[in-house]
Amino acid sequence: MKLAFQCHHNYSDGFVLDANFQLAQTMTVITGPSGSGKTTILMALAGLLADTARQQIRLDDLVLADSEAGIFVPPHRRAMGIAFQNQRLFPHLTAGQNLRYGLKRRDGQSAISPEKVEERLGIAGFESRRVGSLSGGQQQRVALGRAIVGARKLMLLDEPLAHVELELRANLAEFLVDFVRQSGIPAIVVTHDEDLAGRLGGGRLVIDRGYVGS
Amino acid sequence: MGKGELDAIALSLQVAALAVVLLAGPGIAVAWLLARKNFYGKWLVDTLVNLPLVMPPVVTGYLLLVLFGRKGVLGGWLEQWFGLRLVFDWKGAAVAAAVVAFPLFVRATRVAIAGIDRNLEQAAATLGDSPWGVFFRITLPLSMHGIIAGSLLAFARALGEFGATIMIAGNIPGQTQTIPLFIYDRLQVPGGGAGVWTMVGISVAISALALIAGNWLDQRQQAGATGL
Repeated sequence: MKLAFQCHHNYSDGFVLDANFQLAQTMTVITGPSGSGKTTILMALAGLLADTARQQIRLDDLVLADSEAGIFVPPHRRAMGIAFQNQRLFPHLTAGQNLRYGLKRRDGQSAISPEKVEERLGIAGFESRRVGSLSGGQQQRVALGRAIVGARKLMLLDEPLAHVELELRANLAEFLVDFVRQSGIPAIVVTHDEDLAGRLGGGRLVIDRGYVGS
Repeated sequence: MGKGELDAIALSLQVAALAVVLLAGPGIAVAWLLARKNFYGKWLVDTLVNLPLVMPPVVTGYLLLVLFGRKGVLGGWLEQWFGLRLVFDWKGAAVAAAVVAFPLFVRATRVAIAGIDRNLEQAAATLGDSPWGVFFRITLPLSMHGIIAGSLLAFARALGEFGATIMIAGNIPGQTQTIPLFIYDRLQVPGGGAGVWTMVGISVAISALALIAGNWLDQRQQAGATGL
């Protein structure tokens, strides 16, 4: 993978994100204090950042966004799997339907079978339950599974294990590392959790008050 | 109950059902537009949509008559191309009821759509849903409680439609005479008051039922059971 990222974004409250970096590793961990703009970087990669941002994003040979050239690939054509900080599970669907949501809309073929993902995430027992009836940890595991099953080109994981039960974290971190290595789908993980960062390994990107240099 | 009563009840249900079918599609589209988009002239659309709520139904009916009459702009066109005649026809009564009930449907649906967490729609987009896909798989199911509540309200309102109906469809027993027209008709005859109580009761019962069901759906929604 080769990712070139450049983004300048002024928030309405005066905060400025000014990020310019390149990534080549399949696993990258982004760290930095709260409110430093980590999530904004993921949103820009996902295509969910307001169009007022000046951005230039290139993933391998594909230009995802170039505000000067007027190029912007919409989120549904970016083929990414995203685990949002606040889960964003679909309340009208079951856990299993949430997990498989990205499956049909892509090529129907995920890098790993949804059943396998359910097994590794420990959610095999409750696919048919509405997500509202699950605990916070279970919900986050479903959200992570949805990102993994939906990912084709890139995975963006925002504090993916923050609500997951402590005793499961080491196991899930190991699964993530395995998945990235076996599928070749790169992952960018935002986290505060030093323990998780250590387990994931890979490259490290530190952001401080909206600024990331290369 | 005599044949006259049964005819009126059956016709009323038929007219109200067709009215809801007619208004649902445009109603959802307008509700979505009003809930989600800012555009030039939005206030005008908002006003036009809600106008039938406050305008005298007879005026609404007269305007519809002008529009859909045999010499009207739309009426002539419908008759020429589809052989469809709305004046003095139960289908005309359904159009009148649809227009009058439209704002009630749009209001309920608009509130439901405005209440959806847009983050969920974004999440669906990142998983490969096109804007239409997001609409049909996320927006529509998550606003279904409002759409159903709106349909029930509109259905109840359509059942009670009188002014606009009599203007465009007339008052023909067995053809365009709905429950309210039936009651009105009977009360014109001296001593006819005694015969209308069954119909009054049925009218009240159906309306109350629709409101209760609508409220129940609303509370179910507030209790956190999203979707249906």
